[in-house]
Amino acid sequence: MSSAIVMPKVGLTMTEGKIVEWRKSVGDRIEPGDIVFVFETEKVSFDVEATQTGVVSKIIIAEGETVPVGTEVALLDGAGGAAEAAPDKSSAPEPAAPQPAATARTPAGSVTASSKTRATPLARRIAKSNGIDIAQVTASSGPIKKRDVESYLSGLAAQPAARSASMTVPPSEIAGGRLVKLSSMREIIARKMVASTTEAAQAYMIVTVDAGNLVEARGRLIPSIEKQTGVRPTLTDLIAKIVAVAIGRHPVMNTRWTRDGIVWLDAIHMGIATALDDGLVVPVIENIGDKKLSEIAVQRRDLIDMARNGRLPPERMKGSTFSISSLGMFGVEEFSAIINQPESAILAVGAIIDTPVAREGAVVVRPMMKLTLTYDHRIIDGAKAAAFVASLKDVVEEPLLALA
Amino acid sequence: MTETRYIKAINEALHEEMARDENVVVIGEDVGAPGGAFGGTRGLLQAFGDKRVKDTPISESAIVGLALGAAMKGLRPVVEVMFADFLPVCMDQIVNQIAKTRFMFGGQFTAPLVIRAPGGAGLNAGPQHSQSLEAWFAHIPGLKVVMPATPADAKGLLKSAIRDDDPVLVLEHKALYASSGEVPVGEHLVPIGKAEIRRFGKDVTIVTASRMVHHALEAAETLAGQGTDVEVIDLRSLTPLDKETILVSVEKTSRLVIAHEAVKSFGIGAEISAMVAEEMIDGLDAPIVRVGAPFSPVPFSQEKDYLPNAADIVRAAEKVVNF
Repeated sequence: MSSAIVMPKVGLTMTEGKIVEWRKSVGDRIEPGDIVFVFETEKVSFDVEATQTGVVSKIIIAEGETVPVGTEVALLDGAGGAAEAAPDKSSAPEPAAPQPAATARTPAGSVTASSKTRATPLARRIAKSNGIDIAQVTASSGPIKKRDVESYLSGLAAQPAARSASMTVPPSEIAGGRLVKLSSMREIIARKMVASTTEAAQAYMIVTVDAGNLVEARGRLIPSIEKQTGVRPTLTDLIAKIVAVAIGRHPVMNTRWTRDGIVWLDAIHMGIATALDDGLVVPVIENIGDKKLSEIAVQRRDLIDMARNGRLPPERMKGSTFSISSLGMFGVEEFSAIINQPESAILAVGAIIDTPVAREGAVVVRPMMKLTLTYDHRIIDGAKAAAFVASLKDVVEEPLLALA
Repeated sequence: MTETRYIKAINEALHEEMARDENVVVIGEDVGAPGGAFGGTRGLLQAFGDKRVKDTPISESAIVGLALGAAMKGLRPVVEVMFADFLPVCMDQIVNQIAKTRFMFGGQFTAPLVIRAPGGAGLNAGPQHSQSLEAWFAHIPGLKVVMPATPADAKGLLKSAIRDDDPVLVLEHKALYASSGEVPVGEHLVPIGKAEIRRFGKDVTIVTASRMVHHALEAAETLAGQGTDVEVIDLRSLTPLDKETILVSVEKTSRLVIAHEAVKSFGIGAEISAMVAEEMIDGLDAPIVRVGAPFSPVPFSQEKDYLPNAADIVRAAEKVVNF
């Protein structure tokens, strides 16, 4: 009996995968556990393991092609029983789905009754509303039922965060307290944060800057921008603009690490970490280098309003190339942020605090601010980061340099 | 609230309605001095006189036809048919005349009459005195059919039936006549067409009516001991059917068992099953299972073996929960 191997779905958001390498060729015999092919999604790559025995009779999708989840990518001959392939987690930073994610189907033309997936109408409805193929779900007994789909879904949802975030203690072993199920936002935060700390070589650099001119510049800009747009520019708006100017002078800060090399990005899209009541989002001001401060202020205000109302479209949180996070409004003097993957650096902005400092041999009180850069040492060496920080300090202390 | 027997609750309803509305009259075999075959009309003759409480000859067709004429002329007759098994004797009057009156006279006449008849088995009354024929009448447009399971509903549904401008068939259960339960003191009306959830649960819905409600509740206790949380819906009215209560419950539990004492084949369970499948099949996580009597007349001997009971409902629920 011949059967097909399909592009598996790994994680709730995966819609397509690109085949980057076939490890088996036509005529090769495969055994359960063999790596059949490697595919990658936007974020990571996976090895797909065979879970059955057979001979590859045809490779349908060639290396380099991207196909939707569920597409048949190869045919097997002599496959016994259900032919399945499962992505192997070993090379995947994002863990594989708990269930066999690629389910082979009998190719068109030889459909038999036994190939039909038996599932209750309710199970089908739940699968459909969650965008999963019912054939991916394994029945605990008899036909696939609601509980099977739910356990499949909770496996998909909980596993990446739970495993990568090392939450290995079952909640039942913790005395006292209450269990709050993971929201999808919390899962994404957990996954991204842990992935960032395990994937990137994060190093830190702190600089103290005199924010006197910055505060004064903001004070002078407020009346005209507010009159023009109705929005008061915040210190974060000014810093975002200044950071973009500094990045323009140190483009290594605007890069992305990939398997094949470092991508030097053309445009600067600034992510602004924004706290919500129950989480964190990073709305993006795209092409910030080309934008006036008034435009930045309006867009930042609109994005944050949308985020706080839960109406920020996902595409407005994607594509940032550098991020800043500010906790100055809480009086935090300094802190370090985790790089917002797949960026190469993030700047943490502390509070402006009146501090006695030495100036020309005398002690004076100045509004000082601490900036902490977290950078990915895989791409950015210490001296390069220091040069960026020095430029940043120059422009913060003399915002007029932004015009220079 | 006061503890009252099912038959006494019916009797109270008749007393109250006859006192409230002089157009309410009672017609039937032995409804006068004997007070009805089961005591439902006891005391009415003494209280309201023989103009309003009419003993009749043994002719069900004539009794029901008389009631229809009286109803068309403005009275509100309550007919007692001694056994529901005798309703087939007057089927022409019920199906061709009473049920059609409002439609065929374009609403110029209505038939505000009530037919009370005890159905069901449990008293070893034999094949001709033990049947559950509700599905026949529920199939006839123009009739309302109610089946009270408790004394409170027996009273409240009968009072609502008497006040209804359409003909209502009240199918009492003779094996429940001696049962007692709480009945609200004073005016108590139960709306026709509204089911009652007797027990709330999340794992499986049991839709039932009349005496089987009590078997279902017993089954629910057993199932609770096994960790299965059962919701029991007492239909109370077959027509109009309270579809919403059923659908909402099945949406919650995603599993449905229908239990009735009547023969399973072509019974009301078939109708409810089909309705749920048509309207929300994607809410179901297991097949719909019916519990009903075997396709056989009710036997005189071994009646207990024949009648569906709590154990049958437990098995049906286990089947859908473990599907």
